[in-house]
Amino acid sequence: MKNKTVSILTSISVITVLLMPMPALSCGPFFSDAVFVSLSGTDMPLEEYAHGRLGIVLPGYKTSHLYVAYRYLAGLPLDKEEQKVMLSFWGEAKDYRSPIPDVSEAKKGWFDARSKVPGLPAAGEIKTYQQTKTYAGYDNCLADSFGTAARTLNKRIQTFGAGSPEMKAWALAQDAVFSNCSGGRNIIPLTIEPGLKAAIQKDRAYQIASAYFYAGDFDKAGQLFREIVKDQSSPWRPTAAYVVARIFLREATLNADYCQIDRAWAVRAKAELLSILVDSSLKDVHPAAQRMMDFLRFRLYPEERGRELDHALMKKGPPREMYQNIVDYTLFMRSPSWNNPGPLTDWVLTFGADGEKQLAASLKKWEETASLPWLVAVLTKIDANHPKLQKVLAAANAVDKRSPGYLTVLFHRTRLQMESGKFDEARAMIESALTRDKNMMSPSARNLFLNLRLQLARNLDEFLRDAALAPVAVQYGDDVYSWSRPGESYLPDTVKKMAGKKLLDRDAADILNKAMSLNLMKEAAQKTLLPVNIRRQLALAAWTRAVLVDDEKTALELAALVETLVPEAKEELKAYRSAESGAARKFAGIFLMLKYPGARPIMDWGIGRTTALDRIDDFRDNWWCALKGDLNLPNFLKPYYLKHVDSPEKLALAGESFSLAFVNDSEKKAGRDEWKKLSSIGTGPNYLGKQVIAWAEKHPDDPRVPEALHLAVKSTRYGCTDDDTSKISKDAFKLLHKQYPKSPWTKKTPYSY
Amino acid sequence: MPDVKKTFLAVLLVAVAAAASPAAYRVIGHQGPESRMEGFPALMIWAWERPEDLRFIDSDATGVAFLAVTINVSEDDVSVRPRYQPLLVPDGTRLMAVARIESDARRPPRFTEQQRENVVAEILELAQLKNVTAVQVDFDAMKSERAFYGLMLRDLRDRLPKSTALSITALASWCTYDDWIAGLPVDEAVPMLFRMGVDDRQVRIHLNAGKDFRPGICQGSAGIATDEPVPKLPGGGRVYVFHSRAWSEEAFTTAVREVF
Repeated sequence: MKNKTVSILTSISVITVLLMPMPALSCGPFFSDAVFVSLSGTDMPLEEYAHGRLGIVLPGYKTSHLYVAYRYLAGLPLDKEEQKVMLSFWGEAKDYRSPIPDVSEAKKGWFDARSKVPGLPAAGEIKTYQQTKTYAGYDNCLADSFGTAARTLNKRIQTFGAGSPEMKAWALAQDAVFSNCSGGRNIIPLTIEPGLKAAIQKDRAYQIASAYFYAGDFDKAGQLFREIVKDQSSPWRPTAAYVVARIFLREATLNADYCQIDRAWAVRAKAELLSILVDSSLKDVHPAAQRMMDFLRFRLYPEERGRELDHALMKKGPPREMYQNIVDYTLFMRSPSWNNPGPLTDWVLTFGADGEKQLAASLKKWEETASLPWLVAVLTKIDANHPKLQKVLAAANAVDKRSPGYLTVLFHRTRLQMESGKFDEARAMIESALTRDKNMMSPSARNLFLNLRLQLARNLDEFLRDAALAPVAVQYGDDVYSWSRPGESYLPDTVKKMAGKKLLDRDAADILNKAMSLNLMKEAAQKTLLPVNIRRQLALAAWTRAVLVDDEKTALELAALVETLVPEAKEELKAYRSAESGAARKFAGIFLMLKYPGARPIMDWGIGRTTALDRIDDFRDNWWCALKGDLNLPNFLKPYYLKHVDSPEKLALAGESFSLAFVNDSEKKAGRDEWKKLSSIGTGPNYLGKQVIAWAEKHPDDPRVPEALHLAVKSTRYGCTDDDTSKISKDAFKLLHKQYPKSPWTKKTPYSY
Repeated sequence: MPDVKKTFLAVLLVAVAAAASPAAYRVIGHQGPESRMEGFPALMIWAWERPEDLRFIDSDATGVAFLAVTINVSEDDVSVRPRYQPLLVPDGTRLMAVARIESDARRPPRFTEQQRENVVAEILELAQLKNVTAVQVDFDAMKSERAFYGLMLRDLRDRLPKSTALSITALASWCTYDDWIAGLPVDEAVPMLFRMGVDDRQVRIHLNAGKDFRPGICQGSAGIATDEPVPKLPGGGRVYVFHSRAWSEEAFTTAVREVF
């Protein structure tokens, strides 16, 4: 059984789930398309989402979004501090900074402290990363290093005075320490001169050990830090103990095989951390030691750590800890374990997956707990024929409007009403949602409800009202841009120009293409309910279809409308209208199609073909491919689409699955017959080529023939082809060269394809 | 066979023909005998910021240009993000370290001399990396940034070891109608024939008409991606291939077999 939300989404363009982080240079297919529903994450303003305005929660949401949803659905809302942490995690915080210290700012703090000491040489830039043998860098000197140096210097200045020789020597020694942050081994002769004040001596010992550490001499550094640990009078004792563990951790990561961790070193680091955590005299470094321990356990025992995170994320903790936990948890969920998961992970995995097993598991959990998260999971997966539907719906009906799950529940209640054939009830629920609950809606949620309403259209006007939707985003390769602000530089101008316009929904395109008769298509094009950009395409598609299925009467009726909406084809349309009825008129139509590679008998959904109607599209999106139910989906969405529709056969039937109450039986039959006929004509270039050859053989003196043959050959290069194309291309080529050797069109046709 | 495949079959055949000669896999044409690019294979793959285990490649036939550092220039600052992901290659692989330069749109750089110096210093360090014999600068410089870029490249060339090759990536337009890079002291400019955005159509028309790239520095190479249709290429050049995910042996083989 399919996930029910996803089954609705199969027909609308979605943002696919990106499991991996974006590469530094975000690259992807060079195609763009409209996104009507954001599947991979909420498109609610994140501040509101973090505040509990969840919209319709979808199974494909990224882990952090599902985590927030779960917290609210489970009755554990995020408090203000936690909301800020999540906004910070999403990079959306306006007045809140990441609890993880920023190295640039920490460096600035160090330079500020250093500038108080007179007589020092100008500070140079400090690079903080070190190269490895595998050409990867790692952060060697962290923000804490600079923070500690700045704090200590400021403190010592208070004791010794900024202008004292001690402070100058101290700062120079620290410069020497930081000179090892990048560039390999660069130990400078740091020594503990006789006569240094006690505090400065302790500092110097720590500075020397740190210099070795940053220079990568871990043996020496370890030895020196251990000596500091033994020195009960050193203020650096706790930190030194911590750095010893860090040395082992660094050995564990730097000595590891490709993308692994060296377990022997990691275990040593863990043992060191354990000894710190049980030593109350080292309590100052316990939080840092615990964080390192968490990291190590994450690498060493991911399942166990995953369960810990699951638990930790459900209770309030310090912001820095929560931030790190959500970072770790999202990493953990990239390859999660199903083995005895915690409650959060159980829900995220079950809600996010599709199948009978997940529905059964959700039902079981819901029956055990009667909790809202599991009710939402059940509702998302159940269909109207399920024996427990009424029990589930009864619980769903009781969900209060103030509940964070209300909109999700309402959406599925509506869907289930539709599936049960209770169309009037469903319609009323949709109207109520779109008006009374509109403030709860994200743009995607609104489109989901509009999509339901489209399927319940009672007449053509209602259908056309909901056929065009405002996209929530435009996807361009891997990148997703807001539809209201698509001005980012990498979008093609043709896409930028469409910003803010409504585009044809995928379901609407399916219905128009497969379930409507030419008669209804014509009526739809004549009405002014659709945006003009869609009407223009619809009028031309209907006319093209009429010509192809030999419905000359409808084609003639449409020609005038097409002339108005597609003025660039005016001359060819006039020629069509004035041609003698029958084969001559048909050829005039074929000639027009050859001249306009954007002419096709079907409607594009979303952004569709952006190349000008009379221009060849560089990616061969010209004329049409064989119509076998496989509509002209952008290639990069096909895998998703096919995955959820199960089979190409089901895909072929997608357009027939709607309850088109306003289409009577004869119209339905006419639509099916026309689609069948269209499906039999094959790919555009083949059909056009054969038509031209047939006409040319019968009317060799028609002055249009050389150009038509040239265009037919050209179409076989730039259009959709199959095994028969080469022969048709060659036949047209030969005919052109044999019959019209001196025609300029012949010279323009040096090859067949 | 689609036209693009024919073109790339031709490219591959050139590479194979070159392999049969003593100067195996050296690029034919455009490169003088003193060229620093000599010895770089006709096929280079870009290894971007992701873990890349490329030990499956034949180091005689394939070189690697890896993103080594990203340099961000903003206001008066220059900040550096190193490569964080490991790269493994067979011994003997010809390596090119790539420095990507990005200017911060929110904090537009002032392009001071100090910034130029800092950028040069960062890139010079790449030349010291083990087995690296060339550096490549990847900077989609806007018009207002070109003067800085040109001066930076001159400084860089002056201070790079003489034997270290200097390559740059070039927007396709720089190698066709907007050839401002002519005269830059670089060993090659690699026209990027993917993600061309608004230039896509114009560049394809240019190439489909059988025209070569205009400045000489653009004529020895081309950059393509495995996930985009490849335009018609002038023959005989070095081909750089970008893969939008980490390379796998399968992806590499497919790229060589199907794209070429």
